[in-house]
Amino acid sequence: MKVLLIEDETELRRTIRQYLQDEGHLVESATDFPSAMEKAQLHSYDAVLVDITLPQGNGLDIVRALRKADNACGIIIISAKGSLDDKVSGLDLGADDYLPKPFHLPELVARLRALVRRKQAKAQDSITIGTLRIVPDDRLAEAEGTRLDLTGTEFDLLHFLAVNKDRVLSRSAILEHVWGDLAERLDRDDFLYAHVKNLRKKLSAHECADLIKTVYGLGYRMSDRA
Amino acid sequence: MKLLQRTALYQALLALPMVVIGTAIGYGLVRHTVTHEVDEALEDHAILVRDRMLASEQDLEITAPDMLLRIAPGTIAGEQFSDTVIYDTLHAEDIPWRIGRFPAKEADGSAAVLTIGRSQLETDDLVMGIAVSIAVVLVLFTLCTLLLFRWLSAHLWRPFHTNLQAMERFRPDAPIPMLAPSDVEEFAGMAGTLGGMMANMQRDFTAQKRFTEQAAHELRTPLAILRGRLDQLIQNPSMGEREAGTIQGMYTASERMGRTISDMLTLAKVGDGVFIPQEVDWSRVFREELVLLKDPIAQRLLTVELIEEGRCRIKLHPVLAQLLVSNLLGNAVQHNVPDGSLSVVITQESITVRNTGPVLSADPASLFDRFAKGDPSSTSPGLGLSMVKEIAERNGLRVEYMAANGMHAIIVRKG
Repeated sequence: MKVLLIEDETELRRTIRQYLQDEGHLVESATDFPSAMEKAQLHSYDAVLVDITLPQGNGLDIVRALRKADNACGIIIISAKGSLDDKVSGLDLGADDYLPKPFHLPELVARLRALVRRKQAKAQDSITIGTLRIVPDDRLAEAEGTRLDLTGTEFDLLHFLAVNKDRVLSRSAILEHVWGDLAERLDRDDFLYAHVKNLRKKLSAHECADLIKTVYGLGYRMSDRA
Repeated sequence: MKLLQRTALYQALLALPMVVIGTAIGYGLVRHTVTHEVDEALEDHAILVRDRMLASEQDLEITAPDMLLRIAPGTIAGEQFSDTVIYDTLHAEDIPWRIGRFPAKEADGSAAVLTIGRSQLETDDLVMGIAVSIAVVLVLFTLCTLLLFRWLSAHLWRPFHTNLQAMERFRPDAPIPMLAPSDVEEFAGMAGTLGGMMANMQRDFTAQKRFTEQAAHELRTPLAILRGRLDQLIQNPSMGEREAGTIQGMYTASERMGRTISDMLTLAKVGDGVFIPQEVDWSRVFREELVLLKDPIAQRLLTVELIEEGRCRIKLHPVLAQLLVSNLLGNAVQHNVPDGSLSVVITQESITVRNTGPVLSADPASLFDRFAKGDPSSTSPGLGLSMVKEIAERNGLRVEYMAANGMHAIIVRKG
């Protein structure tokens, strides 16, 4: 996937860029408003990640310009301002998603994937890992062709792990993805553990419980490799 | 009571005795003048009669419906006047008379007393007529003055009322409402001061908003870098147990910092004054928040109960209502015990959230303080209940805490 990353903070830009490149995406970056505008208009991207606060301009203007030119790329606003107004006006201008900083990189990966899935409207886009198949649009998970009976929370958990296949996901990233703001108010390490345990139990009936690997002291990783 | 009504009341209260006293004085003056005139007429009459007595005229005595004249032997020191009432057989009523007694001499030189009287019936009518006219004029005059004053006050105070309305409409995030121009020094001064104050509030508001946004940006950006770097770091396959522990510690710290930052920014926003209270369907807000909490509730095996005894009249902005409820419920779930209970009771005047929980180790009075924690080792910044308190106080509500028999209750009610 070809991604344009518009972010003025060097360190953050480098971090995101590296992580997305490791995921196999092609990442180009821009550091200020004029260069971002130029790149966005000259080249075509599958997705544009845009920060609102930029040197010499406002990221929202880039969103406006892209949409005005009927550019169909996916747009995710990444902003640290965290104001509701920005979120609303950003989405009104045609951005597809709004990700407040600070975010976890696996979350960004999941959002990008969901965005592209929506944009390309690929019927029955699915993720396959070993004998496990996940169809996000139908919120369906199958193992060896048999539908798994998962709760909403368990599906979210499984899907998030699958989207970030072969990556170590920290407990905070998972909690924040599945439980959102609520995760912030609960002391909940045992809580995540209980859900992973249930999920593994359901997977073990189809001998794919090993897909979810515990990374000691840190979190979980989903992989069909050893 | 409105200013104009109060002014009118005071003016009326002041005018009433003036009308009464004015009428009384007028009546007294007229009465005095008339009596004086009558007395003079009686005196003139007496002089005439004396002359005729000396001329030995006979049949001087008169008895008429409105006049009488008697001559009797005797002496008096000087002229004497008096009022009296004589029963009139013709009209069958008492009639007031003015009587004058004068010393006189008969033609033979013997002393005599002249008594001359006049009926006051008509003069009394005249005096009453004049008094009533005075009263009517005074009342009319007072009424006109009151009405004129009322109109004048309404006119004069118009800038005041306009400014009052403008102030009621004032919001720090909206343009400053127009204040009424006035050539009255006091009102011009008031408009100037108010305008200045509103401009100041708006400047402070904007400055605070900008500060909050900048602080949010400056604090969250490094945090985003930290998190991103950590997310990258843990991909390293050769990580040992010790490193993992260290990194997990950093995750925990970064999460805690993120939570504190967003709670503090939210608290700063609650104080903005841009959230106008509205009617809230509290039962729905609670149901929605309980759905979000279903996982932790199920995990702790809590029994949840939501009772709506009446449509609650507590008003709050929807954003704040949601924040209040999520903090109340979050607190009740977080500080609960396994197999415990959580109940919400909504009445017309109050909202009560009651939960089982361990005995509070901290001072209940400090429960709503910022950064107060029941459990010092908790990574929660301890801003949840202070947010509840802040929202309540900013919107004229009261929050109380009560504990009994292992149950904790937080009650929000109208102030």
